[in-house]
Amino acid sequence: MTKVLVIDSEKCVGCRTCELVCSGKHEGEFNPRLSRIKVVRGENEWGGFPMTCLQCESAWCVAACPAKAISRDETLGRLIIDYDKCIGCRLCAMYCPFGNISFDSVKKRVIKCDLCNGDPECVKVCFYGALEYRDIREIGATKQKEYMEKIAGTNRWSPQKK
Amino acid sequence: MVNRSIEELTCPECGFVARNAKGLRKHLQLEHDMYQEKLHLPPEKPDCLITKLEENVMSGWSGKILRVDLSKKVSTTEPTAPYIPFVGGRGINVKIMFDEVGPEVAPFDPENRIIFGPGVLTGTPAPTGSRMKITTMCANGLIGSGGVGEALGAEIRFAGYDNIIVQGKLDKPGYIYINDDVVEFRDASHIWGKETGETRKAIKDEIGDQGVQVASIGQAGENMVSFACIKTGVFTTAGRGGMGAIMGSKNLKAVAVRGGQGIKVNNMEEFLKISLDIRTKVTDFPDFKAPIEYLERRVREMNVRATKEGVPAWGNWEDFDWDSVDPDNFVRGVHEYYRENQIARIGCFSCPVSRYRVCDDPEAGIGMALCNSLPMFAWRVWNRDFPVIETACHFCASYGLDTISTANIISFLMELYHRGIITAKDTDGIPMKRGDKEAILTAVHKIGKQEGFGKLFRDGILAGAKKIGRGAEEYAMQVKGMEIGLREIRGRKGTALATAVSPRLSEGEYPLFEQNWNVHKPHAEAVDPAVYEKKGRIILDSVRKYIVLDMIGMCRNIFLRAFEAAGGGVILPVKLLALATGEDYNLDNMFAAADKVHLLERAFDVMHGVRKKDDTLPKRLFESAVPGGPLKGARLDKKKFDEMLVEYYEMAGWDEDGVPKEETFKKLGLEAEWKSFNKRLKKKGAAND
Repeated sequence: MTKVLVIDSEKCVGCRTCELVCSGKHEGEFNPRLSRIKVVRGENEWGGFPMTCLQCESAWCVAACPAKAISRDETLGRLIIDYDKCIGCRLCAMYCPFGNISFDSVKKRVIKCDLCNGDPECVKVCFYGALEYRDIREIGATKQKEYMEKIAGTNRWSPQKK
Repeated sequence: MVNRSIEELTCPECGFVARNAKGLRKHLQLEHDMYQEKLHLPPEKPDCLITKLEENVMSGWSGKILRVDLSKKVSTTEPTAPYIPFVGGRGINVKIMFDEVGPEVAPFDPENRIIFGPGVLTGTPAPTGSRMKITTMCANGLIGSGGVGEALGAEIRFAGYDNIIVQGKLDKPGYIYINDDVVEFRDASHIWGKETGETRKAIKDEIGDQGVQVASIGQAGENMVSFACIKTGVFTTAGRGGMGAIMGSKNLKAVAVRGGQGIKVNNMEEFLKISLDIRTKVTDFPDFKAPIEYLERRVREMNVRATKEGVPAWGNWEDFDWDSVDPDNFVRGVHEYYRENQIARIGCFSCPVSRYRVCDDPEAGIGMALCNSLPMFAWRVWNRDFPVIETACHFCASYGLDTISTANIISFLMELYHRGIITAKDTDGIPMKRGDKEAILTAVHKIGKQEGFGKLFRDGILAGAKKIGRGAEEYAMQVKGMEIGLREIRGRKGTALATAVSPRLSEGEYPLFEQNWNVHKPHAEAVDPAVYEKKGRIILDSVRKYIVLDMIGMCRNIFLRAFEAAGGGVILPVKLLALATGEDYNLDNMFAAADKVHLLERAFDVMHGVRKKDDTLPKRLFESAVPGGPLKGARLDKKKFDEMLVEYYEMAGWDEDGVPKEETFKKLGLEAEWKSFNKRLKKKGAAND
């Protein structure tokens, strides 16, 4: 079954290890700017919001690409870029409403998350639980469970309180 | 307009020749997307020097060291390769300090250097690969290295440098902004006088990039208070030794860094696999696995260690009514404080286990109390309220003050007040009552802003005590002019020795080894804190392990304090280092490298006048016994203490006066260093005669 990356930004402390392993795996060097996942910080110097390609079902980048280089891989539920077709116009990066496509200025090509062919490296190193790779039909399951546990003490149906 | 050579103005990407530096930067931005951030153009007369982008061929190291001369406002790069015998981080820092800062240099001279030294694995996914050492000649004239976490070290690596040397002095307040190969000298008159946090924010806003990492000083550093710190983030601080004052003496308000280059390692696949393995091991370790949040556990641990093990000293090594304490609840209001004021969680770069809590203190604003700061502002100043600890620590961080030294001075004033040596009149009308919130916070403000009685302590506790007079010097707890920390060292002989000889400023360096004594199996009998024998060996062993981790750039708190006994220690980091660099690093040659660093640190201090007579503790610690608690009655014997010292000297290869021997240099392959050391030592001796 199709799996997706589930991001829980509340758990992210901003250690940015995901950026490192992502660039390490894809580019052979540790460089946050070449990472497909980025921990975005606003004014605050703490925490973070991990942002990566959400593999949209009806993607703007696909519609925008003049070379038809971006296509959907149904088995893994991801969008992949065919670099043989890509003309490097960066339109996809401009069209992506989340800014999740970036440009590698050395190799001169756009880069985006490819879910590591079904074994995302970033999820393996996130020990804070901010990133998960799980079944698309259960994307909310962890949060549901956590919320249930959180309110169980005060819930009038909870077994502890009669 | 500065004339530049064609090479400097040629685009490294396509060979385009620009008319001036500004043109080249614009070209790089437009054509090659080099600087995606909002570009700050240098002033008409460019102060920056654009160095040539070089092809990075080393794995592990970035291959370049940046040297920034503040007096001439130029920057140059030099290769890392000659320094490789010292591995990286603290090792390279110390080597550069030894080579370039001779005995004729005083701490506040422009010739003194501040060296930022991320480790070889800083900026990689090696667990806790975020550590950096800032090394300088401290305010007391001796070498010191302060460790910091968060993301500054990694950002320096991403800017393409192994180390950054800052030397010289700016003619007016300014800060430097290092963006990959471009170094800008910027004006800081508008942020001079601001607090550390405000400075960080102002600089980030000015550059227009929140990803910039900033090391800044506060008012204390600007006023050159001898225990001012360098703040490198929300919670990490190069605290001890007055490094902030050294930055202040250079008119350098901050160092801002942004990078976009990568770090290459030798065997990427294996490196990722092994680092993930170690990461899993660290997170599976019970201490870190527990669902309790880090600081809460830490406070609980602190209570137990204070009351059942007698770790901290009470007040200024004074007596305390032990029966009055509830061991589980000495510090009050932890939960309530967090419930009301915690705003976020924060962690160091690349660390799998840091779960710190950022609090928005109602009085002092955003910050976080950590490490030694907590017990310093509890037991040492007789304070039982957690909110006061946080408030005091947040204020210290804003002013850029070292919490250990500040709390030590407050503790000192409280003892003087208690003994009747000073009255409220001496402290601007505030009675320095034990544990009094007003007394603690007023003292922090006065010292931070250098107002009123705070001015007494600008040059440290010893100078302050001399100014007070009336026999106050006897109560000043310091070693080599540096205020000592919190431990009850009369009952712990190893800690006593470490405090006396540590090249990094009295405390804070070595005493963490206590938890790991069980791994020193060959010297099992020396594990007992009350024993003097073989302590020299154990401590030297700890010293070497610390230096190894400092060179690699991984966290001693995780790997040595918590993890050593479980088989972590330095073995795993060294393995990762070997993988990353492709060099044959093992425990033997890493310890040999650590010995070199330790030797050069000592040689530096000896050149600046340290001998055996300075490796001692305040007199009253030898004359009194522990008045109560678990270690009641323990004494520190001067004669046996000296024996411990001599043992340590012997193990480290120094003579009986604590001067490194020629054969030690030769054994470690440091002939050139020996010649230079000997020459400068003789020259200094001749100058003194």
